Amino acid sequence: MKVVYPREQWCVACNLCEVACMTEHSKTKDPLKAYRTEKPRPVSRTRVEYRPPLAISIMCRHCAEAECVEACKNGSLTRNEVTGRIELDQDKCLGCWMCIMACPYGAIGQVTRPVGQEERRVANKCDLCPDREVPACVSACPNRALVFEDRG
Amino acid sequence: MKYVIIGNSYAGVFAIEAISRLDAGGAITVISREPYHVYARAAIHEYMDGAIGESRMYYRDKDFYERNRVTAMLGRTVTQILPEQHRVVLDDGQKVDYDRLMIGAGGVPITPPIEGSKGPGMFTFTTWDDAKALRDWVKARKTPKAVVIGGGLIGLQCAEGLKHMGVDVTVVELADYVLVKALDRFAALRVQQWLRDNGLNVVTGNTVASVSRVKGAITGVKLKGGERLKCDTVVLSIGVRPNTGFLEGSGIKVDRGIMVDNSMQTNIRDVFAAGDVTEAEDFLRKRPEVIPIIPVATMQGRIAGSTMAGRKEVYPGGLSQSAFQFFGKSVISIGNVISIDKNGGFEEIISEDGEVYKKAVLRDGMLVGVLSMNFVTRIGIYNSIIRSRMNVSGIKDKLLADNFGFLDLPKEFRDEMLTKPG
Repeated sequence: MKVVYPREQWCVACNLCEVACMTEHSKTKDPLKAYRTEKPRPVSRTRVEYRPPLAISIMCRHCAEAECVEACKNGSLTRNEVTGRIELDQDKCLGCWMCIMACPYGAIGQVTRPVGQEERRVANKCDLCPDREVPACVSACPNRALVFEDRG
Repeated sequence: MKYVIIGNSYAGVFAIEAISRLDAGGAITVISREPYHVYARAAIHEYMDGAIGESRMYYRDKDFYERNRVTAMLGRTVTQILPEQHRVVLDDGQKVDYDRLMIGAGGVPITPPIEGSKGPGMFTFTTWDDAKALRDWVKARKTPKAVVIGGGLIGLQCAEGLKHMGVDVTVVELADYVLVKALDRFAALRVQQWLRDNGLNVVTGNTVASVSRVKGAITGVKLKGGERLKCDTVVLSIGVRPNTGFLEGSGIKVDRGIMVDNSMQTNIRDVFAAGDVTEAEDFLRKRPEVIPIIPVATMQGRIAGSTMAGRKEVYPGGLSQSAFQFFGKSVISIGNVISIDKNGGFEEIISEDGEVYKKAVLRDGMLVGVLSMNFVTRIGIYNSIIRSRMNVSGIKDKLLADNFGFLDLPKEFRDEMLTKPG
């Protein structure tokens, strides 16, 4: 299946992938409005590591045998048998962080999510942008340091 | 092929999903003594106090059994396994035949014969029914007072749930501090402080010698040291043990749990085991252990299921770990977080900053454990490092930095992890 792979030799830590991811997962789909006015503020699901001169952007690998799915307490994380994608149901998530503990890539983050009257801290991860042909981070990368590929 | 799975929880679900993926023509029967559609056993404390509703308790969608061609026999108990005939016998005498059998029967609470413990007001806390019964009991009382015997994860989560329901709670732990399996002394004392700050009473180094009753109703407990605590409710949560009683006479080899090979097969052909009922290789200790945690149960279930359906898989060994919270503060514990012997090649790295406490334990230069309080970001990377058995002596100073990541690790490791399918 196609997932996003980082190519660290081309990454310059411009962080545009993070901006694109945050925007794609916002209500307004506008980077400035999303960052400045949306509450809770959307959070990028990819994370850029930077140790000059090295840089790399890392997000969910959508593993065939995903440790996060195996660790999830209540089935909020499941594997979609048709697409192969690892899907997170944020309305169901208990915020127990078993998935964060289990993910060998450190690719699951946290976000505050409004549910009815309350706000919950829940897990947050790459969904490969289901509304787009190519994930937003890949489109936004000026250096092709992120590629959307099927490597078997 | 006819598959029978005993147990309808984490291990069973992963076995079902693996079989269903590999053997589209297979017929799966799951047998469970509990009457429920598969649910999140680990969330019963949050259900009890009302933090989550019923919909968030179901571990898989309503159509889970149908979609995976599973016949679910719920509320039924297996009393006997007849491996010669490839058959299991149920409580009412009904027989179910199998080609391949998986035992995922879980654990049962340990209930020592404490004087006065038999009768109303006494609870264990491992099933949805346990949580409902305790909730209803407590809600029927004006000023409920509970004593929770055992300060392990189950006991403390139950105690927090009770506290949220307005119950006056005292936890009594036999060891010097709570959560002895997951924490070191420093972390445990901090957890105890969190609990006390939120109104729980915590007694350590002590245990309940007897339960006092007047006309059948609990009036209190007497501790080993002679002190008395008033209460009307007692929860027994000193631990669980593998549910192996019904295997007597089956010929299936049981030590503390059911013994299995590296594909989760027991000593009996076509009989497999997975989850809390199983004793399998421990990744760090390199010997068979019962590790009753979700990620171990699910991985074992998947490996058993795949192997049963004809694709042999090999168990890499279980790594004990857990993530939990009390009153909004979090703890993650992975692997061996206590240096058993300072002369045995162990080394500890500690980082403390306000509410955050992190500790890494190295043995012979390899990471064997991580403990982290109030810091969860990217903690799973340590899981990869422990599994890799790489030498981290050279990056000790970076290991516990808040921004620690793949760029601090060797390029070969990074490429192996990040340029191939996960």
